[in-house]
Amino acid sequence: MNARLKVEGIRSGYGEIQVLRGIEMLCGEAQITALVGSNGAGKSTLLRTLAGILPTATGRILHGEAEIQRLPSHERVARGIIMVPEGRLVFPDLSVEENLRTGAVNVRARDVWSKTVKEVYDLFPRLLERQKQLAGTLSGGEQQMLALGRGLMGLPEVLLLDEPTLGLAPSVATQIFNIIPQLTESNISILIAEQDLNRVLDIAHFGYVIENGRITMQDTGSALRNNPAVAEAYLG
Amino acid sequence: MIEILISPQLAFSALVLGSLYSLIALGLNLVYGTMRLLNIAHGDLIMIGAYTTFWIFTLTGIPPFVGLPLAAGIAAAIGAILYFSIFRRQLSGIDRVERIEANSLLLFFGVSVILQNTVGMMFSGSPRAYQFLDTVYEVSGLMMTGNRLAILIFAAIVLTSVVIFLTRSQYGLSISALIQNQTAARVVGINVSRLQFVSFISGFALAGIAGALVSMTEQISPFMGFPFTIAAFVVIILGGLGNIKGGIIAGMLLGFVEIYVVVLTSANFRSMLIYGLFVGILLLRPEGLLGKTRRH
Repeated sequence: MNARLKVEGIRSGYGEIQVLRGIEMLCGEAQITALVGSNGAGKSTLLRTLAGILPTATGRILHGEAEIQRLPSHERVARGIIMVPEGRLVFPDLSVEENLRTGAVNVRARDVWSKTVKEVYDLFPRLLERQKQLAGTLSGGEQQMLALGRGLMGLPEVLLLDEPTLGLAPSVATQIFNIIPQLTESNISILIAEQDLNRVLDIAHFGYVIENGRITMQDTGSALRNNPAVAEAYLG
Repeated sequence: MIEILISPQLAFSALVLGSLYSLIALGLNLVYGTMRLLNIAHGDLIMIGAYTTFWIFTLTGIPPFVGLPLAAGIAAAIGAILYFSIFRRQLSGIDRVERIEANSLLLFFGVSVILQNTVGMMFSGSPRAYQFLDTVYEVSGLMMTGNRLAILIFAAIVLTSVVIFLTRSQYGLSISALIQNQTAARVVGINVSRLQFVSFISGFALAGIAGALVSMTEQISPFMGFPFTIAAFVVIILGGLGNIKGGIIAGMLLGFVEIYVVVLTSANFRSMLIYGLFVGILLLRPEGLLGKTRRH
C-alpha cells in the first residue's frame, strides 16, 4: 500500500496532559482509513494534532517524503491536509457561500474557488439552495454538509473527518456515509474518526482501534467489522 | 425646545461626533475581535496621532490631511513594536491564550501610563491647540466649520472603505472568519498569526487617524486619551464585542445620544451618561444592544 500520510510515534496532548502515547499509522492513497475507539481514547486529539491545531510533542508526521509535524496549520492546509472538525465549526455570521470561500483561502485553491464551489454545490444541492443564508441559521445536517463542503473547497489530498455524523438525524447520517466513498474517486485520502462503528468499518479499506492513546488493533475494515474484540474496545 | 431638537445644527454635531466614535471603535474592535485583546491604551494612540499632527502642522505648516498618514504610521509602528515585544509571545501557547483577555488589560494599562508620561515629559502636560479650516460656513441655516465637515467626510471615507474591504475581499473575509471562530479559522488554513498582526497594527493606525482628526477641532494634552478609551469601550459593547458593523452603528448611536442628552440636560451629564450606559449595558444586555445572542 502506498501511504499518503505516515504517523510515527506521535505523542501530544493538552499542556501537561498527555493524551496520545506513541501513535503509529498509515493513510493509504485514495483510501478510507477508519479510526475507532471509545470517547476520550484520543481520536479527536490525533486528528487535531495531524491538522496542526495541537502541537506535536514528539514523533513524526510524514506527508509523502516531507516531515510536517512542525508546520503551522495553514501550511498543512496548503499541502492539502485538511480537517473537517467535530461540531462543524462553521462561521455562523457568514453566508453559506462565504463559508465555502473561506475554505479556499490556501494558495492552491484560491484562484480556482469559483470552479470548485460548483462541484461542491453538485455534491450538496442543499447548499446551493441555501447559498445566501447565514450559516448559523442552518440545521445541524446542513451545517455538517457545509463543513464538509468547506473542507473540499481547500482541494484536500488528505481529508480528516472528526465525527461527521455526530448528533445528526439517521437519514442525514446515511447521506454523509454515501458521499464519503465518492470522494476517494477524486483521489482524496480519508481518515475518519467515527462513533458509528459498523457503518464506518463498512466503508473503510483499513481501520485502527485506539485505546488510551495507543493503537491496539489494526486490520482491514471488514476484518475489524467481524472481530468481536473491536466492539469490546469500543465500549471501553 | 422642539426647534432646537429638530435643528440640522444638532444633527450635524451628532454626525461628526458619531463618525469619530465609529472610527475609534472600529480600531478597538479589530484588535479585540481578532486577538481577544482589550486595548485600554487605545485612547493614548489617539493622543499620539493628535500630537503627531499638531507638531507637523505647528512646525512646518503642513496641513493635517498630509500629517494624517504619518500619524497613522507612527501609531502602527508603536503597534508593531508592542506586538513583537509583548503580544506575539502572549498569543503563543495554549495556557497563555486562555488568560489573554485579563492579562491584556494589565499590559495595556502599563502601555497607557508609559505613553502618557513619555509625551508629558517631552512636551509638558499643558493643553495645546492649532487653528485649521476654522472658518464658519453657512449652508441654508446650518453653521459649520470646515474642519468639522472634513472630519465627517474623512471618517465616512475610512469607515466605508474598511467595511467594503472586510465584506468583499478574500482577505477581509478571512478577518471576519477569524473574528467569529479562531479554531475554525486555523482549520480552513487561514494564517492566523499574520492576520492578527495586520489587524493589530491596523487597529493602532485607525486610532492614529482618529487622533489626527480630533486634533483639528479639540485641545490636545497627554491625558486626552482616556475619555476616548471609555467611549470606545461603550461603543463596542453596545455594538457587540468584535462585531465590526455593530460597532460602527453603535458609534453613530452614541454620538446622537450624547449630543441630544447634553442639549436636553447640561454638559455636566456627559460623563455620567457615558459611564451610566457602560454599566447599564453590561448589566442588562452584556452581549450588546446590536449583538446577537451566541448559539454556541
